[in-house]
Amino acid sequence: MKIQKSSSTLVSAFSDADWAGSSDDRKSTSGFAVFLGSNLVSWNARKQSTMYRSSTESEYKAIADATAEVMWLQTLLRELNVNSPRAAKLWCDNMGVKYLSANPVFHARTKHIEVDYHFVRERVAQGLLDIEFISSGDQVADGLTKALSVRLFKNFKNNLNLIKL
Amino acid sequence: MTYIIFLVLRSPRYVMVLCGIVLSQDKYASDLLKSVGMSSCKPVSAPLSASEKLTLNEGTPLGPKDTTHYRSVVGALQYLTLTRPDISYSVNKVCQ
Repeated sequence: MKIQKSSSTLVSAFSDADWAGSSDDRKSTSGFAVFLGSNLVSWNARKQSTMYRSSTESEYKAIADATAEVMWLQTLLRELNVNSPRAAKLWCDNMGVKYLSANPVFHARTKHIEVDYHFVRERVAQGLLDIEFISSGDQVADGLTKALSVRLFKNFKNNLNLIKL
Repeated sequence: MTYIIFLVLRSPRYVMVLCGIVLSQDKYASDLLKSVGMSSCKPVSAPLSASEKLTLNEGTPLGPKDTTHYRSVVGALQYLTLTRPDISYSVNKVCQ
């Protein structure tokens, strides 16, 4: 893994979920990758412990997990007196999630993710987090939620700053 | 050598090339391969097949001795994800 000097101290995170990916119990897999500037600093790939009935729900759970990690990193940077842009960027590939985080719309299907929802929304409302849409093809966290083909895997490794020794 | 946390900081040669540092656990990885007798195995380009799925109910369950061995190997693999985020998903999968 390569770590290079980077002029940017922006915290950016990529979050992805593979909805109902497990063929045994149909639980989803979520993953995120957090970058500081251009360097990868934190990542996670795990199977979600609860069932979700829509992809937006499981994507939202992944975002809430990524947000918690970003919050931790933002606090750490503040403690170390590192100047970093106030708002971290979070990239996700589900449009529903972006709208949900910007608008206080509620309906029956999102009620049970209220806690995750308010948690992320609060950060967005405070201006500490920007959620942006990214196409699935450019999603860096893709390889943390599913098995990739050789070509995509190569790309994935490249995006994570991994090099061959 | 900071082998205790299984991290070898590669710098002298790479600093000039990349203006950065390279975190590598190649010694840990090759030791692990040696311990399971796989050091002469052919490498593959992707860790997990994209077309086939691992399921709970297929195949025969491992015996108690094999189970312990399996767990110790996948447990050791988890430490390798420290510098190999690309295999995080696969390692997580085989640990389920």
